[in-house]
Amino acid sequence: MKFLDIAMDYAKSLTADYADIRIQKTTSEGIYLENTSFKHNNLNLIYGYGIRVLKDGAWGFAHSNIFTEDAVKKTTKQAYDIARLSATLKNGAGIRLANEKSYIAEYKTPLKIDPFKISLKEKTELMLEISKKMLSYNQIKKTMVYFMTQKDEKLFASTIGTRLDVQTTFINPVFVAYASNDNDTQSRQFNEGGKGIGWEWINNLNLIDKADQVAQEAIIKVNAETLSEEKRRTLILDQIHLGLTMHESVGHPTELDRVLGWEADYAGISFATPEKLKNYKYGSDIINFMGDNTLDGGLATAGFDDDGVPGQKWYIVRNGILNEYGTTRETAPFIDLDYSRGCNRATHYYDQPMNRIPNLYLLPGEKKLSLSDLISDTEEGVFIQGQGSFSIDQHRINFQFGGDYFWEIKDGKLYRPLKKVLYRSNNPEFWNSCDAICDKRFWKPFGVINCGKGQPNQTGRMTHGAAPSRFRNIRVGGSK
Amino acid sequence: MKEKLMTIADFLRKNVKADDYSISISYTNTHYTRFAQNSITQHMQGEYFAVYYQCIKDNKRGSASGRQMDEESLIEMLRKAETIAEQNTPDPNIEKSLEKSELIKVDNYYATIEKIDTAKLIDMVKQCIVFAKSKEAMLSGIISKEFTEHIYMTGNGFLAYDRVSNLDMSMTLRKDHIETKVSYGSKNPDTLNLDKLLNQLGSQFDALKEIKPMDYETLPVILRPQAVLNLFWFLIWLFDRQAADENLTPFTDLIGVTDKELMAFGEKFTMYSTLKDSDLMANPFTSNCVSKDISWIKNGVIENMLTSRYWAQKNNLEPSSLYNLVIAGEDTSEEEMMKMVPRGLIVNNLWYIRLNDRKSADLTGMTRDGVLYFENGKIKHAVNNFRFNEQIHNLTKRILALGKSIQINAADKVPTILFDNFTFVDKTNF
Repeated sequence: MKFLDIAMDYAKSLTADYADIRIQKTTSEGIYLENTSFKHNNLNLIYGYGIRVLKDGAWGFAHSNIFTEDAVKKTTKQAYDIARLSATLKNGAGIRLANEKSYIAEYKTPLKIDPFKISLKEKTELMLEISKKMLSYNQIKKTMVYFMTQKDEKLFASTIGTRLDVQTTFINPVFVAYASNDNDTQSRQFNEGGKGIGWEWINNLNLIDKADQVAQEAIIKVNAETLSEEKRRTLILDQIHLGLTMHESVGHPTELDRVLGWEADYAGISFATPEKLKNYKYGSDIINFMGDNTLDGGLATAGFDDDGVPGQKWYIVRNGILNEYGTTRETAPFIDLDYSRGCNRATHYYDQPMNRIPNLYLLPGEKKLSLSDLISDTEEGVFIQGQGSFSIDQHRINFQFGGDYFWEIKDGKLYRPLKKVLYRSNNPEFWNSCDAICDKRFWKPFGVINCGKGQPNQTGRMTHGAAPSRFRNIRVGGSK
Repeated sequence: MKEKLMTIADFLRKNVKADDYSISISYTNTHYTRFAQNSITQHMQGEYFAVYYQCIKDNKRGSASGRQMDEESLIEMLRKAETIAEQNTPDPNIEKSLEKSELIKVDNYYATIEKIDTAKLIDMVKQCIVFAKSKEAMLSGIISKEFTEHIYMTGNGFLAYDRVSNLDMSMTLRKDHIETKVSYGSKNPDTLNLDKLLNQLGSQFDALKEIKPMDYETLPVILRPQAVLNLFWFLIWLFDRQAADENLTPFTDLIGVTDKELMAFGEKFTMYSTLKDSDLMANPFTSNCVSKDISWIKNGVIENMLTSRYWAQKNNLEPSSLYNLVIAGEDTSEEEMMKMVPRGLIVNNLWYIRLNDRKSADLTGMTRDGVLYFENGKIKHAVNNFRFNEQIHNLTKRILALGKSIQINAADKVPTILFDNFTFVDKTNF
């Protein structure tokens, strides 16, 4: 597109030290069904461009959705002027970018069936069938079904010569059943997160069967008991649950911008400071976390990030030791790295990109171990499935999590269902207490589509993954 | 800009092909200056139009939204929404759009917002960084400048225009174990007193110099206004009439209940929204209803809950929206509060508040930005942070005293509150 060249040529003529332009069209479809009533059925288009200019060690960013030569030049000048003025307040040498090559490349999420080509009728009929299946149980008093589909088309150019054409697509189906008895109402949900994939995923998920299971489990849950006391117990956590736990307690603390204090005013900072690299015992020896922006179906898999850095795979925690951060071209030099791991992403065209969690997952155990083996091997404990309450301090040390579905384990068996279970732990206690991880047959991804960070807030996406894992001696109790 | 928005509105109205509809058209101008580690880290500026169209055809819903305002894009957006409606499944519970209504006039816009340029914003940040350096500390934060003009119209004859200005600022000062934050927000940028804000930041910072470890327990707590606001904003997520009627929250069948044994909230707790406070942002309309003064909770009695147009129509109720939030205060000072209990904590802020259980309104969250221990009416020293678990409505039954209600940001006024027996369940090592 000619506007890429217009912006970059003009930025160079203004003597920008570096500049890039990201023309981004975000098309999202959201369909929301409450019981049998479609409350929301929307197609949203957000289309425009953001221009980033680095001058004298400071950034300027300006955006517009007017596609004319004059408007593109005006926006470039605006970004340049902001950068120039901001440079009067830089600390030391200010921003320096890590080295990167230039690329001319394309990337598209591999889709067998484009979800935007599935008729609305097919989608709404499926959603209605899911809802009616759950409502067929007397104790299910309310249901919600939400399907979200989004496509991001990006054209990126930078003054180092990079030209990228990137198109990513994801789907996120979610449904919830609310069960009531005389004293309580509890919910159970299906939410395996978002996935960068086509409608073939939905076709293979057997959602009607899952709706049946969700409804039955909601009823079991509302009639379940709570734990009478908080005490140290063994926990077995499923893959979906672990997706959220690792997001909060490993993903965010290893974002380099947080480590550097750049998010101190809102999202917070990190306990995982640079002197801990290569020596801090983040977890037990079997804990290995990968950053991997090449993961199939991963929500941060886009070929390149918004710095024009290609997707990579690296250890963030290796054999239990903090190994490396998720970095960007602007953050990496602050810890004397001259390369970026490609974690710079913006949500919409009007957002300045920032250091984001990559696709980050826990490697499966190397020894053959199934979930049923793991439960059989556990004398007493609690098995938590799915996600519930989550809260963590601004240094990412102390946290409390709930869940969606709970069973007490006794003598190696699922003994009784529970509700309102909470556990409290901290870094480094939690990941160091992990003594077993199921093998790769049980590994499953979970895609986060709503990671809030930044001021003004942006909503990031990334995929986590794990196999069911066991944690010893964790404080577990129940809410009121 | 109003004329341009009206021109777009006229064009859209002429081209709508639906039984009923609502259209929101807005123009927004934003400038965000972010700083951290005593330097500007992000600096963003831009403007955009946005349009959101919802339509009803044969009891079927469709909607579309976009940001391009040329006629071709607008027509494409209309047809997309209408095609979605045509292909959709009929909704048995369609609500009618807003009817023509008289609005209460509220001035939400101050033209001085447009005079705050890049150089002025950088000067403001510079003054703050100079202050941080005087404390040998690091400053992080943001100044946000926004102004928006907005038209809302419906197929039932509602047409209204509003414009708002908003200047927000927050900053966190850090050094070693000390970490504290102040915030400002107002529709009137002339009310920003940067010296006063920095003095507050410095005072909070100095109070945290001596920190001692403390274990968690249940004890009296004075929540300062920012903490009160963050906590009770979470109540809003639970304060929905439909959710209460569907037995999803603890507030089922409690509207108007005055029996003290059954009341969900404590008698010292009063919460309302008002169009009559000239300091506060108050949108005269929302897509849900025309705004009017509304009492949510008065002396512990629930008088109204947030009610959608859909739920209102289905149950013959009045729709209601929360457009600003006031928690009524009294005039007890923080010094007087400290003398009312033998010992306790003063908390500057709460954050990462989440529901443990919706039906019981059990919440968790962390303290942040400074916690002070007091004893015998005097602050002794700072302490580490804590985690709390509390049922938010039951907490209001333990209110011992309230300070004056003060403005925290553009749309909210809340007091400092002293609570008895605040339940902490964990602590941090910082």
